[in-house]
Amino acid sequence: MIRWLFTLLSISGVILAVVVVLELRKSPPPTPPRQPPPMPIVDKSPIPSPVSATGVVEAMSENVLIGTNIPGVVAEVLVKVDDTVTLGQPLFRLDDRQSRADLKAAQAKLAVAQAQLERLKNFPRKEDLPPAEAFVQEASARLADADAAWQRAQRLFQRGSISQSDYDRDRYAFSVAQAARDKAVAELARLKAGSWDREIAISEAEILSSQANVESAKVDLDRHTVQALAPGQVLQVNVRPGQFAAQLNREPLLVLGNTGTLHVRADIDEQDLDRFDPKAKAFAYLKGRSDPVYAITPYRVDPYVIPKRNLTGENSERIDTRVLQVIYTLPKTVKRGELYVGQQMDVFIESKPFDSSKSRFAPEVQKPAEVSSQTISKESLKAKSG
Amino acid sequence: MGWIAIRMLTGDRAKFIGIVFGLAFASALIMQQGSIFWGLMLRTCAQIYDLRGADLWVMDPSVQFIDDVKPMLERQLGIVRGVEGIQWAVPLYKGNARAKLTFLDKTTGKRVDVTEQVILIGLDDNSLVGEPAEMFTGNLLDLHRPNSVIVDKVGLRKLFPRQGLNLTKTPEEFKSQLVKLSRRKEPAIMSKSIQTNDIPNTKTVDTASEASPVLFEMEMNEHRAEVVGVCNASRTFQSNAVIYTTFSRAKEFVPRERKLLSYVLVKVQPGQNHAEIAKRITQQSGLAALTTDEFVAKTINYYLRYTGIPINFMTTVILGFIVGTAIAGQMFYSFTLENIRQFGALKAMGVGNLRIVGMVLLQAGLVGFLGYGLGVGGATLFGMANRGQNSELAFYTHWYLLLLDAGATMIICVLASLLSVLKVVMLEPAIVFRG
Repeated sequence: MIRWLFTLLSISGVILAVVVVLELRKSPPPTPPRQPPPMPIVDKSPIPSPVSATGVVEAMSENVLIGTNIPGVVAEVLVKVDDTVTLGQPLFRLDDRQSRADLKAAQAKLAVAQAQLERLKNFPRKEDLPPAEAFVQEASARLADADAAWQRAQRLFQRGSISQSDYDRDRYAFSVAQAARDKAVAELARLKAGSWDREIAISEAEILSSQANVESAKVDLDRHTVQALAPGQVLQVNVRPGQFAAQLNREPLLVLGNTGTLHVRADIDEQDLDRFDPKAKAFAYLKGRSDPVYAITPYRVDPYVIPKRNLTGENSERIDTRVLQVIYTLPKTVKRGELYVGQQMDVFIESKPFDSSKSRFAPEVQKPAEVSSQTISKESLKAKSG
Repeated sequence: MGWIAIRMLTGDRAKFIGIVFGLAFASALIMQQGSIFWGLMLRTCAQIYDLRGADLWVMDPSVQFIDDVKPMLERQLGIVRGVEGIQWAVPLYKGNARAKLTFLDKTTGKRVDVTEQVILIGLDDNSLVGEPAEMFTGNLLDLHRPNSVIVDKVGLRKLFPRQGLNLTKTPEEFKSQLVKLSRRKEPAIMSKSIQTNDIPNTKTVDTASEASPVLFEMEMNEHRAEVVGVCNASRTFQSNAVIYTTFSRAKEFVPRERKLLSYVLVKVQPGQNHAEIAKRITQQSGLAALTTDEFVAKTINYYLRYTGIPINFMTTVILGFIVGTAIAGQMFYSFTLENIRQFGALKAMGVGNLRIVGMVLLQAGLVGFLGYGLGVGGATLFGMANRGQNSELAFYTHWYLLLLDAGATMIICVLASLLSVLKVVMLEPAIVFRG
């Protein structure tokens, strides 16, 4: 009896153990990623040994970061985000009251100078002439009178009818009258001659100076209104009325860009430069996605290798890598709103296959240190993972 | 003749049971200790197995086991992506973070502040490769929400110590359990209807009916983390709570560090040889690329070599072996002595030594089998009783262990019957006729 019971229990024990062990061996099937990561496969054919880079979408014109020439309080913003602006279109206006006043003052000064010149040019005043002429006549009359008196005195003196002193007085009175007449004639001549040309020249120079001041004030006023120096789309507006726009703002006041065609600025690690071919085909993916893929065409290589910018977004990235920036053109078929300027992309660039003989790294590194007798056989582990 | 041997064996019921139980004890001990050892070893690499969907793990060549994270520069990801034959490569952050949370104690109602070391896993932001195998409650895609994290269920007991968190409840009950514990009165906002003024003719819009509520909040590295779901993760060796979040967010949850890329997970293009690709990755980047199995082997090897765990278990197993041998041998010998007259009679009848030895070995084999069966059966039952996510006990029976146990039982039987065999071989048939 007991032996049958034991046999039964024992057999069922073994069966149980075997069943459990077999069941434990099964592991759940791998779950495919929900959103497949970017893979260097286009139309089901893999890109041959791609160079992988991170890129940022930028405008065809590159992103124009608008600043201000002069610091000041913003009075008015004349564009909205997403507006299309033309060359010379005003973007925003700083408070320009002082400038306007300065302009007015300069203009007034110019007017003064111009009036001054006008006055000099129109000299002599015609009303000034008759009195001068009258003075001449008066002086001539006085001279004639003095002349007559002196003639008389000569005759009388020869006859001895007048004293030496009377004679002298008349003689000198004649000289005085002569000089007075000469003076009146000269005065008239000077009046008739008009302004001195040197004075006119000074006055003209004053006008030029005032004109320059006006121009300068105008430019100053003009600079209070910031204009678009290239056509494009307003990508970002960081400026609002009342805000103080300094020359060294941390963020640009406005960002403009010609988004007619978009570019991708790809950062290629200097380590990969030996494999990088500037003319090779390249493909861009939205960051972290495998779909959609954009075939991008090389546009330009910035021939200066710069320190890597913080593209990957960690909290503090110490830069010890330099990157080559390569600009690619996105296809024209990209619709407005499909990609945005500033968006990150994963870029894969076709390249020469890696020459393993040139590897700096020995393949041995991957092997676990040394194999001891305690090493678990891989087969036994496969048992679990299936 | 075999039948006689069996009759002889079961003749004395007490001795028979004694021998069988002695062997069953030895066999069960070997199996149970072996399974626990193996279970523990698998826990050390539970996170390697938990992470499915990738073919290769790329890491710093000096990494010795999964928790021995030697972070790499993030540009290494780009280099790995550039290796031919790779379908995709994504980053994985794995590290330790410190989680702080506050809740009201269940019994006293007082504020409790908990600071707990947690294992932080940062999954690739978009693809979430390396996601937990199974969500208990909540939606994994909620990880795309700002500040969101997902916590493993077992680890919650460490985050809410002494709160009697019942892990066996249904997801709904479990959620309310958590929400009650955390200081929130209401599950946060999410699926609240809001009034919209912008769109005429629409009274209310259900903002996010799919999104699950925030269960509770934590603080990691001065950043707020909202727990939006609970997952079932395999228990880890250190048994810290496992917190899943996205790679970019994980970087906020840990203190500033220059290098933060723990691993790169690589999927090999279909049809490509994994070993070949691994070699290529090593050549191009200088990093080690291991398959899941290789990484598990490396991790286990580390524990075997540098920790005292195998020695401790081995001691117990050897002890079980010795005790089993001693009990069974002693019992078997006394049993043979008891039946010595019968053997003598058989010998007197002209049965050859070989036959007699065969009979003894048959008896030994029989009790050996019975003991083994009972032992493994018992150990398996013990393991089954302690299985599942919620168990503290690590128990995993590898099929190797069944064979090992069988071999050990066989050796015990052979050793135990050795004396008896000697005895019957030396036996003089005349013994039957002596007093």
